[in-house]
Amino acid sequence: MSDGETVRTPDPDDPDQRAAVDPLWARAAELFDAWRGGRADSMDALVRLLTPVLWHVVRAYGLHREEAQDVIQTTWLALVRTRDGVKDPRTVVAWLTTTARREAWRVVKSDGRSSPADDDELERIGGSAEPADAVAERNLERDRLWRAVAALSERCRRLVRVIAFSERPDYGRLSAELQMPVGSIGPTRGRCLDKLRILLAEGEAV
Amino acid sequence: MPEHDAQLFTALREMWEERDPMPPGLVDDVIIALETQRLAEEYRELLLVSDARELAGVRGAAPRILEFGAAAVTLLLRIESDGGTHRIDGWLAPPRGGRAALVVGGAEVASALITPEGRFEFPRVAEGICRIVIHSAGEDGYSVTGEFEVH
Repeated sequence: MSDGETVRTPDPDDPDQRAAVDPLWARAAELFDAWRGGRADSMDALVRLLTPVLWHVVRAYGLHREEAQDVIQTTWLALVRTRDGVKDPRTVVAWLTTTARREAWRVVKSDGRSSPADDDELERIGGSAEPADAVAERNLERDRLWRAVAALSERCRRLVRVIAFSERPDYGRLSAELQMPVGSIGPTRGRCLDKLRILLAEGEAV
Repeated sequence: MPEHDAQLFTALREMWEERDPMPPGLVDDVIIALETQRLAEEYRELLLVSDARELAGVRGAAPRILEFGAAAVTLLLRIESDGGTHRIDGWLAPPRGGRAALVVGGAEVASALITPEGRFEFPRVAEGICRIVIHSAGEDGYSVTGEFEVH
């Protein structure tokens, strides 16, 4: 990510700009286009390329792992059904992440859940310890980061995870789901990162 | 994105990838779900349109002609029987190449190439209840005839 400040706010409605600055968008557009042109195997490649991204975006909403899997499957089925509903293949990543987030949000709300169901996530802390010293050291750092993230507000945690995995999410759509004005996403992101750094520093001192 | 933010996001991504990884079977599950949906949508049953025997020739039993059809596909089968063995000649219209499979009791028992002219043959078919499955070249999905009895 050495692309500096200039790509921080690309016009999300301009697919040319997005595809030009984001290799993931460009590759996804190629595959989606090929699939619509009759190459069935391109869809498999698109699924392999973007499902990991969708996983983290959906999990950011605090869904259980099984729920997240269902949401992701629903999202892909919706893409195949809509097929020509995605007017410009260069926007397929935005279409998928937006559909996945909307579906995740729907599941969270329909459940009347007030806080994320990340119990299963928290149980994983320290569960990946391996014997090697270097790995142990890295695990310690990860544990510290993990605890700092867990101490963030739910909104910050969600925002940070969505941004981490969708690189440059469309702030317009994100603002509706995070229930904050578009203009405040940038500053909120900054505040969330500041908070995270403070928590990390505190964790280090312990 | 400022460099120090980028580093933090990289660390966060790695953390989530390690601590909350995507289930290993998820990609395959999605691909299977898409394939299942595709087949359900692409599967076309070719319905029996007519079943007639050609006018009896001078000797022996006359061949039987079955016509199957779906929206844009017609499949003609000519079944010629000689004692206990049967021969099926198929003709697909509009013509297109591909592969035809002979299915008996849910299992594929023979496979034949469909020529670009839309013709194929199963020279030796045993008595029984059959279906023919047509996989056209360069096309998703397949067409399958209703059951018919060869006797």
